[in-house]
Amino acid sequence: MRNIVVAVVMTAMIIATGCGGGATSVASGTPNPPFQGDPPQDVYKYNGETGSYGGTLVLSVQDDPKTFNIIRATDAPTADVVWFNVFRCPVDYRNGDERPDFDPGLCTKWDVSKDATDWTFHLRRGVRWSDGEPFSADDVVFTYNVILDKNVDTAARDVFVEGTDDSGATIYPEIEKLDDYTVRFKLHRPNGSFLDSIYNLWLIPKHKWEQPWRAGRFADTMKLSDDPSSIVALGPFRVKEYVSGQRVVLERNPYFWKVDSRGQRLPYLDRIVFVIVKDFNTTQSKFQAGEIDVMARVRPQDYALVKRMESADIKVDDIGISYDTNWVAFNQNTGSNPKTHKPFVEAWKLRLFRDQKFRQAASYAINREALANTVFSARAVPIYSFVTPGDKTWFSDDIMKYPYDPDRARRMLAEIGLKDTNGDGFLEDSEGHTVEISLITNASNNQRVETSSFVAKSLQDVGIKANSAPIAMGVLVDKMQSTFDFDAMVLGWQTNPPPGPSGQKNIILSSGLNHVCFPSQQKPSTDWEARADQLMQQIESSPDQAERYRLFAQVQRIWSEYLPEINLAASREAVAYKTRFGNLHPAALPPRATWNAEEIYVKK
Amino acid sequence: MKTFLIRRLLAAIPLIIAVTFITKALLVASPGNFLSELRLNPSISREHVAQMERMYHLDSNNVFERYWFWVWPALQGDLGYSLTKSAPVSSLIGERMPNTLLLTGSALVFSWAFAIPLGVLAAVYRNRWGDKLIGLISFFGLSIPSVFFSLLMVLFAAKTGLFPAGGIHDQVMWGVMSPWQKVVDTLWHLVLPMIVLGTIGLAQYVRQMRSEMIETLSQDYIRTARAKGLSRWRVLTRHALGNAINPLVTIFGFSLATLLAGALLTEFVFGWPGLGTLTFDALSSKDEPLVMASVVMLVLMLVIGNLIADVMLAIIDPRIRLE
Repeated sequence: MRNIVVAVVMTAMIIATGCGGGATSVASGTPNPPFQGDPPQDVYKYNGETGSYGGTLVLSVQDDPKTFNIIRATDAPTADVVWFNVFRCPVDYRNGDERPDFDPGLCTKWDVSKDATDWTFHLRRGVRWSDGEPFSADDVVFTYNVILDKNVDTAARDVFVEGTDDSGATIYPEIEKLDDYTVRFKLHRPNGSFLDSIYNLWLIPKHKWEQPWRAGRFADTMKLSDDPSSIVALGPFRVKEYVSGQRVVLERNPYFWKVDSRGQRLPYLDRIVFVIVKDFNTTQSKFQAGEIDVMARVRPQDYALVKRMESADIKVDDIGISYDTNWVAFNQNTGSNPKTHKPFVEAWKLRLFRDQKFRQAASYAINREALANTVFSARAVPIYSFVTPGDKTWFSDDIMKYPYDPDRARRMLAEIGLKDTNGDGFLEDSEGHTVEISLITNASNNQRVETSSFVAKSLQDVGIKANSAPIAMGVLVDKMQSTFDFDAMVLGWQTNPPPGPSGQKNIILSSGLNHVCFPSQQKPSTDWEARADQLMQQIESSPDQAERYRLFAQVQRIWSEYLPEINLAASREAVAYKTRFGNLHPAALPPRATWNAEEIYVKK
Repeated sequence: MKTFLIRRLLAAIPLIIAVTFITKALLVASPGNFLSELRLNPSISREHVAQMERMYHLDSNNVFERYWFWVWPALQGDLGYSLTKSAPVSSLIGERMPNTLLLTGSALVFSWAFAIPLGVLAAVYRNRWGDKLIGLISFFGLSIPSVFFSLLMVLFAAKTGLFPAGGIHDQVMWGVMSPWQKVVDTLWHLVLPMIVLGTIGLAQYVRQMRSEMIETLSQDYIRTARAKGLSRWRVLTRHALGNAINPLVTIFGFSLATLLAGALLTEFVFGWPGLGTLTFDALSSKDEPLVMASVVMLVLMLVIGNLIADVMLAIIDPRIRLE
């Protein structure tokens, strides 16, 4: 019987070797598919390292994209696959550069009026869509109108909100077509960060989608099940094939509008294949087996193992500190349930949670170094505000820091009247309530659960009876944003490019939905929240970057002093990739490996 | 036979209604919906979420209302649109179904092909070393968690390079392969997940087959046959096997359930694009139309599996008549 097993396996092996496999790709030197048409008059000239044509880059993506309709997309896999690679905004963002910044991209330049209310974009002439049709200002106006259409479900509309008018209606910047290659956005109030908003204007072709949109059928466009050739865009690649649960294949956009310093048209690569692999261990195995070329995220706990794979063909690089934060936040909501009239947080607890000293004591009680060493396998750094040191543009070091000091934490808790009166080892307040709190977190994320246990243990050490209570993500979000019935929660935020104040508004503003300690306030409930709100307002209306940085540093300072979230650690990011690719410089922000897809090439 | 089949299929209708209603009720009762994740995204406003909630009829907490929104179009053959994948549910299931059938089908063949001879051998050479070895193998198969076994196999593939590390096709070369190469490539990808999934069933069947065979071999008619001078081989194959295999066919119907459950984990680790991963994703993202349709498909597969088991039983055992 065992002979049969051996025989079956042997046959399979013979067949296997016969058919070959793995991602073998070489630079053929000739582009296949070939380029079409001529490069635009106002061509974008790329001045970096030049390469040669041909080859395939194989990446993995954690899940199926949910749509190719970039306007309606909200999921990470869609972003990984189509951002930059397939769709482009009027401006680019080079997020893998030493200091990430905006890049003209589809514009030759942009002008800002002195008061930062008029933003004019000069588009490149002669650019063509991936189906060969010419691109013009009409397409920009069209895309913007689609986004502003209330019947279209898109998150992009929110980033353009300027506030409300006298009647309470939301107002947005107005767009004006000056000529075929110039558009102007007229803002109602100054906004120095308007490029951050423009960066959400993923352009779609008017000639393809105007009719369906006018007919109210925009939601039916650019579906996964549609013919891929209908996904017309401006990126270096276009969608060739999508197979559910298996792969998305992108191939060269033959009309792409960039050339390199030798006059060769971009992109260099013929194809990019995204293999859909849900399990992280399998991704790792596939990378090891040579089936994928880049592992864009090496988890802290896997780093040591992956680092050992390094060879002449494989490189494992540190790419800096993550922009993503994690934190523990106490519930400071003073409201009560409208139906039962019960306060969301019991009065005596709320008194504690709203006491700055209590939160600071909690912050001193947490040994962030130890947390980084255990939960993050020594691949993290302590953080004390919502901007991590990974963000070289906005990070400020002038903040209040909380080195591990449990004695100080105990002293501070004693100062606010907490004593162990009944000798059970835990503190009681003056009314005799034992300080017992439940720490909720997302049960399906191991790192969060471990962080939550660590925080609970740290708080227990200084006499706060904290219990870690992981729950389902859906319940957690309900508690955070609608029912508000929790003591404290451990969670984290992810950052999308471009980082900075605009993307953090919902977290910082007291009216924000993600201002976890007390979301959606009508009016700021404390002075420091009012000050932070005001600073955020000033940042938006200031056209000067140095001034904005100074103001944003003040927000970080307030954050670290008042601790609406007690920030804990930011992980060190690493990436593993094959050395045969040139210009591959993965970044810590999404899309991590392909932000410069058109520049990547296969070395000869 | 015909009336039997029709009756059984008709009996499946109330079953499907009950199961789908319970599923819907659980979906409605459990907190959060597929928009929960969106609500956590700092760049998405609550107006946008509310707009989508209305669009997908998620704003009502009345189970009957929500069930009606699903069942009325479903009865007319419209299983709806996946919330997360923005594609018709029927086409999603149609894409994944063949993959799951291929995997579970080959795993079934694998486990039966090995379980029956191994079980017979173990019974014939009872308590000898061969039996003990087979026992060891089957205990291994019973006790090893399929996730762990899958991971081991993927690791084996990655380390040795003999097999692909998961997936169903070569994702890069598939487009340029000839039909024959495609078949070979798929089979090559099928080997490891089939072994993992098949081993679970194999272990159960071997134990079952062995004990049934031992029982049968101790029957009087076996002794009579031997006494009449029939060869041992003939007695085994013609007299004993047919009787011993009966209960195995009966458990075949039930084993489909475990097989489909096991397929979920195996599919997940191997990145096998089957119904299991689809259902799992749908559940974890609370993609209601997709969950409902998957549940219907799973119930149907179970009903049909049991039906096949009954029919097979009638064919093998002349004492059983289907009425």
